[in-house]
Amino acid sequence: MLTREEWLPLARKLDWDYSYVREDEVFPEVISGRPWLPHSEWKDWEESFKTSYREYVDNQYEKDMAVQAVHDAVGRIENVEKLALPWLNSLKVHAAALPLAEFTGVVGNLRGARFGRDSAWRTMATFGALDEYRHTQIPLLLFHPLLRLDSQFDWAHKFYHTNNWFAVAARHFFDELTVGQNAIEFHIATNVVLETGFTNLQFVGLASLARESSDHMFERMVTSIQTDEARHAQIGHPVLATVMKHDPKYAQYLVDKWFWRNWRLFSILTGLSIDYLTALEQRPYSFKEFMEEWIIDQFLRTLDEFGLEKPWYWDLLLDELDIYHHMIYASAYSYRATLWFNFVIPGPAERKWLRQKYPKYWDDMDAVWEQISERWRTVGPGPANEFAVHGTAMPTFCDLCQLPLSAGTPRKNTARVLVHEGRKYIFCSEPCQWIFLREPERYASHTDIVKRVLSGEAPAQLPNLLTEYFNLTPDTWGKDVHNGDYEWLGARKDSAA
Amino acid sequence: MSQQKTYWHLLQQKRMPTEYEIVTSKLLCYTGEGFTGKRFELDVPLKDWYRRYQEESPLVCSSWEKFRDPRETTYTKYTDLQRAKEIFVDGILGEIELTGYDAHLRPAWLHIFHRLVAPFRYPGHGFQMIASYIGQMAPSGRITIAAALQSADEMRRIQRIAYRIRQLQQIYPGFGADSKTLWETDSMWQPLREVVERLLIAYDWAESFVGLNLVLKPLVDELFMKYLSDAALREDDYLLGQIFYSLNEDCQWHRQWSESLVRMAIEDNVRNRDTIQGWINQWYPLAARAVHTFASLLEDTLEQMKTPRLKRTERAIDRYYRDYLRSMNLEVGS
Repeated sequence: MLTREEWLPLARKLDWDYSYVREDEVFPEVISGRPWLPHSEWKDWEESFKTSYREYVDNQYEKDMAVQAVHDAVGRIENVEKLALPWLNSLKVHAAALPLAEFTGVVGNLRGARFGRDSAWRTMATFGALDEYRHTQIPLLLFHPLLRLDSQFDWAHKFYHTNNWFAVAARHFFDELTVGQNAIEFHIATNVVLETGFTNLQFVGLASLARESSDHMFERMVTSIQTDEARHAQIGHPVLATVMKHDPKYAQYLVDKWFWRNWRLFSILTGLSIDYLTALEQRPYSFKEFMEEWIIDQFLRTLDEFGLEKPWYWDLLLDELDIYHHMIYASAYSYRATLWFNFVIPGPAERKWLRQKYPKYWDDMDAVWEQISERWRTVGPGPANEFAVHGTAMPTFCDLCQLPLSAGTPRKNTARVLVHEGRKYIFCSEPCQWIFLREPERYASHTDIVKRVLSGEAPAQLPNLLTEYFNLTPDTWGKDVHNGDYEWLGARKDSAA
Repeated sequence: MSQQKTYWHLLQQKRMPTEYEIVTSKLLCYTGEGFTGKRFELDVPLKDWYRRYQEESPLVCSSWEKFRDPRETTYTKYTDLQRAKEIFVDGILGEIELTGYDAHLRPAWLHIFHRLVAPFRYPGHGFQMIASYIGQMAPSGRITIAAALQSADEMRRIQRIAYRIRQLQQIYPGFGADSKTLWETDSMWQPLREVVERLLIAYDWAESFVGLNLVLKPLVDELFMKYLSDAALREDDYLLGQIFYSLNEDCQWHRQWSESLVRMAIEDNVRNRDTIQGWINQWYPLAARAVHTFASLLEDTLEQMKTPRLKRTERAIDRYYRDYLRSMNLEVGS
């Protein structure tokens, strides 16, 4: 048989000059993206994988069979039941965040498969769309049997369909990243920033945590997904190179903006899993260590490769590595009933580890956990007391990232207020405000949960908000995994209801 | 906690969902099929585009989630099916190389292959682009999936033709090298090029679907994958016929899922029939002209050969197409 190199070039470069319509009608700027350039500027678009259809279906079938085999061997309920409770809850976070977000990637890649500016780009994006269908399907299938074990796994499908505050934030991210985005911004933001950078957190970082936690099914799933990501992530690089050549300021803006937006989302998704929801003895590294090794270093290399500058907020970001996800976890614990998974309080051994890994700000965080622990000591453990150790006041959300205002430290919040065209906006951080001001036409009309409560769209009372608006039930809303019953806490067990 | 047996949206079925249902239902969040009732969470760059070309499409449905791909193609099923087909085609291509098959092809047939098969990669890529458009704009995840897989099938067809061209180039240097020029300038290709280009900018998602899957593809696929393939058999290029037979299986599935979508849409809202018929009437003349141009231009060449006059082919395609539309209670446009 001929080698792929011998024949594939005849199938990859298939653009032609239009006669009956104009090129800018076939590739309108609004959906193809900017800068709008004639095809002559894109004709040398190339990436390194050059996969053929024949190879694709063969490899992908084999990969699916391998995942299926691991699922059959170790993915049964009895295997999952043996996992540590915190890890099981980490699984629920990823079960919810992953599948339908991946499906928005199907739409985004199909955008590239139609509006990408060169046929080789469009061809690789077609594979990208199929990959993302795979990444939707595998978790939906693997988590489905776990519903019998725990109905919180329902959120593997339900999450993005709800008005849960975190779902609002996640949709705000993915609607802009994928479904509602033009081809150029989609491929730079998704392939170069998210997949070359942050999915390492999800897929490499989590795979090793899963392995340490003896969750071989999840480990296999994310490792298998990562092999697809590594291939289709290459699409964005030649796109960025061309934008860099014609409009370097815009290229820099896209990369800066999307790195920040990704950081916000993934510090929660992965930060919580690594530093809190994995048993101490199974943590191979801290979230910060992983970020430094896998994200920061790699991102700097990527910037270098394209001649891009470090984002202007770099020092701020490095500072946040020490604190942001800790702040979010403490807030989320305090409002755990608003989420669909359960939480654990870091005990003395965990806090010792956290202090060692995060010396800069841990004292401030430790005081927060001490308060929470004290509250449990006072009311006593037990499911009936969950709401006695729970926030009651409505938190405020950032008008860009839609996450609670948790930037800064417990002593010094970095929230900022801005009046824009007569309306007041609040942001958790300077970069979030900066992003807003660069493209207010995208963000200004959005209403966060608080505004929805004020306008009457969402109920004001917490129990109604949880059930009617966040689509939770007493079975599924988040709790302390031990209902405050920790040996180290020394709380009065007899007071448990 | 009570044991929940399936995901929230499948509970009302009161039976265990199939694997296809688990992995394909309610996958799009912005279409109002969940609890949010919203469209996009923010004013995304394409908000107006979706409003104009999806929400305000004349083709309407109470719930696009009702669409089901009759083949129930999950990702694993797709790679399994297509892998088997590709192994079959590899066998044929390997046979061609082993037996020196290409040295025995007749010059007149090689001329047809060069003029008619090799440039097909270009409209094929246009089909791939339009299918990708339908997929990204479709109002339900299952339609998105069917269109995405169709787009991949088009890529398969292009790559198999490319492989075949390279094989022929080993014996006939430069074979097919002018495909792009032929596609851009040969009078035989221009009516098809015109309809592909115009369909690329038909941005209403449903019009794009009707124009491609109910008009252009059934006619063009039938001509190339069936009649040209029959001609190849008669001209002793029996192995090309085998390859096209396999590629035509993909095209048949494209018709099947399209038929399911049309039936569902008309069953849901009877006015959809007129909407679809209107688009068929609009696109048919352009597509028919494209297909008939091949038929009439080929007559001169093929008259010298064993192949019967394509006028008959033209009539057979028209008959087949009429039957296909009739099965959906639609008709060939005037």
